[in-house]
Amino acid sequence: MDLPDVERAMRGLRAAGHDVTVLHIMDPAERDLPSSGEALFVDPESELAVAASMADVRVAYKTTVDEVIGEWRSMFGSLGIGYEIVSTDAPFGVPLRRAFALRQLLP
Amino acid sequence: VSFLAPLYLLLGGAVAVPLLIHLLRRRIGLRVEFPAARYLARAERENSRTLKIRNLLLMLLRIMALLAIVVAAARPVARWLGAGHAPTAVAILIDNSLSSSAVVNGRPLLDQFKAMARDVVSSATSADRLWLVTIDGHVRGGAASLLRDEINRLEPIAGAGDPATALTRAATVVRGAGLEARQIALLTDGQRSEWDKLPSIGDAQLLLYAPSAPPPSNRAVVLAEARPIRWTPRGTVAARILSRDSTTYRVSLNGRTFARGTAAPNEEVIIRAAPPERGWVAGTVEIEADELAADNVRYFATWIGAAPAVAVSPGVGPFIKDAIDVLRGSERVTNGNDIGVIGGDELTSLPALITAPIDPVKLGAANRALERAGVPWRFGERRTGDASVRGTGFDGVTTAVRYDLVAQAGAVAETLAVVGRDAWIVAGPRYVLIGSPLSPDATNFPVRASFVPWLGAVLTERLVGEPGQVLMAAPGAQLPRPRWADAMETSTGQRTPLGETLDLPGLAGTYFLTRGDRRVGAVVVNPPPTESVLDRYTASELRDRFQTSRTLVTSDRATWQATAFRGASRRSLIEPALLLALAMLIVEAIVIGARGRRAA
Repeated sequence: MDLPDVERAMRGLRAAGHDVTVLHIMDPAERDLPSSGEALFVDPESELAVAASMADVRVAYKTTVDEVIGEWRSMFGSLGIGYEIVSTDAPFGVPLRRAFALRQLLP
Repeated sequence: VSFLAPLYLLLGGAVAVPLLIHLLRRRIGLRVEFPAARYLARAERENSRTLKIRNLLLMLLRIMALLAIVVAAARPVARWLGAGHAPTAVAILIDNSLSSSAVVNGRPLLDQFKAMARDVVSSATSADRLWLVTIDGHVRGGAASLLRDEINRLEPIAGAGDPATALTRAATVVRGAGLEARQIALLTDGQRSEWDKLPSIGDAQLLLYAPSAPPPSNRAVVLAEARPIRWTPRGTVAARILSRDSTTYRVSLNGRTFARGTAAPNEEVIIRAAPPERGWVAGTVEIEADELAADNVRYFATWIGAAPAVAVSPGVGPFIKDAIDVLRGSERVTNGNDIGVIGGDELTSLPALITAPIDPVKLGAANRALERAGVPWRFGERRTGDASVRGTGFDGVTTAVRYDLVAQAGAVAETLAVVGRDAWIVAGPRYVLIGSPLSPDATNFPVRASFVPWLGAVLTERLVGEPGQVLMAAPGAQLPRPRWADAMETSTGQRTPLGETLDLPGLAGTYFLTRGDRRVGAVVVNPPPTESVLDRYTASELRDRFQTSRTLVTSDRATWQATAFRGASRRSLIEPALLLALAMLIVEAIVIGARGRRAA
């Protein structure tokens, strides 16, 4: 998903008067790269393939992921949309409660 | 820079390995499903410059590490860089001449040389070739442990040795080693008398140690001589002491002191004696020990016996009879039948002083008598006319009548006088043969002043007792075998049969020569007097004397050790190359470690 496409869709939903909360489900491996080694990383949806050495790009990857999450959070915040990261390695109730509690505070 | 094993440089192709790893790293077989691949692509895209620089740095570090290892394998050497030394052929030449036994600072100089030689051996690697050469020219080669043992066993010789031969042999062995780096490491006291004439040592480098301190003052017995060699029984000992002041001396025969005295510097003292000993005896002249003890005693040998009893034949004429009476009056000879002084025609036994017969008719009888007595000479053609005689002590002697002396098969004799090119007086075992009758009409010799002393010397030195001589030689010398002896007594009394040559011991002393069971002479071995003069060349003077363009001279032990091997050879770059490789790998580890820490 590209950010402009999502932003356009979210604007439509907000214009229609919906309250929206986005739950971004992420695997821990997507936040932090696998431990080591070199591999060809393939996105099964887009078939995008990237060859990389974990050690080489680990720092840059983590920085990029943080930047992307920041971009998402900023974009959803500007539209009055709640945004919460749901990690697959933790109980999902906690982030849901936090998301909807925050939702109460939104206009 | 050059390489001792250049073929190993072919291993440089191994640098292709990190290069290929760098270029082919994107050909990765492991495939991982990763939904966030887009983030990965973005991360790579945004950090591609940093990643490329880091990977390039790693590749370069790995290539350099490999190249350094390859260079080390090729055994690089350089003259001005590096550590250790390239394989070197080193001949350690130790001057263990007599002067090296001088005590300096409480210990013999040779001990210091031996310690410094061991320093050199300790610095050797398994790739070096080592020899130990001593000043007498002996060469020992082998492993370091073997040479260390040889050095420990080294003792000073009793003489000056043969420095030129020792240097030549040292140069020969290092040249024959097949190594590019060659060095002769010479330890010497720089004695002037020793390093007088020197050979060329080729292109080998000479590392020379000579002490800078002045030599100790030395006193030495430089002359000890029995005069004459045969005492009947009176004789004298001549001695001279090298000293800066008066020195007391002691003279002994067979270990018994028979004279003491004080000699002025360089004065030749004459000690008269008529000792009771008989036969061949050994004597010494000694002074008090000083820093160089080896030359504080000097050896001599003499034969002592009763005055010979001489029988004079009436046929030899009145002049000989008068001369014998003079000798008898001075107790040099007595009446008796030990030695005959006789005309050839009357000869019946030896020993004898034999003259040509006055009457030419008796020539045949004389030759028959010579044959019967076993004298290998015959009287030949009679010659007349004045002719000069040449020989020691025969100045002004002429002959008017003489006979040719014809040698027979197996004749071995010493020619004492000649007329023209013909022998006139010959001396052999137990005989002296004169080619003229000793009458004034045949020769003026009987009326010359030199006649009586000559006659006395012949009777008391040549014909008295058993035939034999005293030989003088330097320690370790090789002499022609004396035909009148068949064995030599060692200092322990053991008899060693003589070979084709007479090889003398390296220790000073008197060694008796024997024939059968009897002593027939002696060899007196003494160091050359010049070895007692300890004046030294300075280090710079020594450098100028050696005919090599590559001479390093030092008077410092630390400099000596540091310069051994290194001075002659290019240094090895193996260690620096390996250190460079290690440094590259450490930097690579640091780069990788820093990346890992950031990732964590």
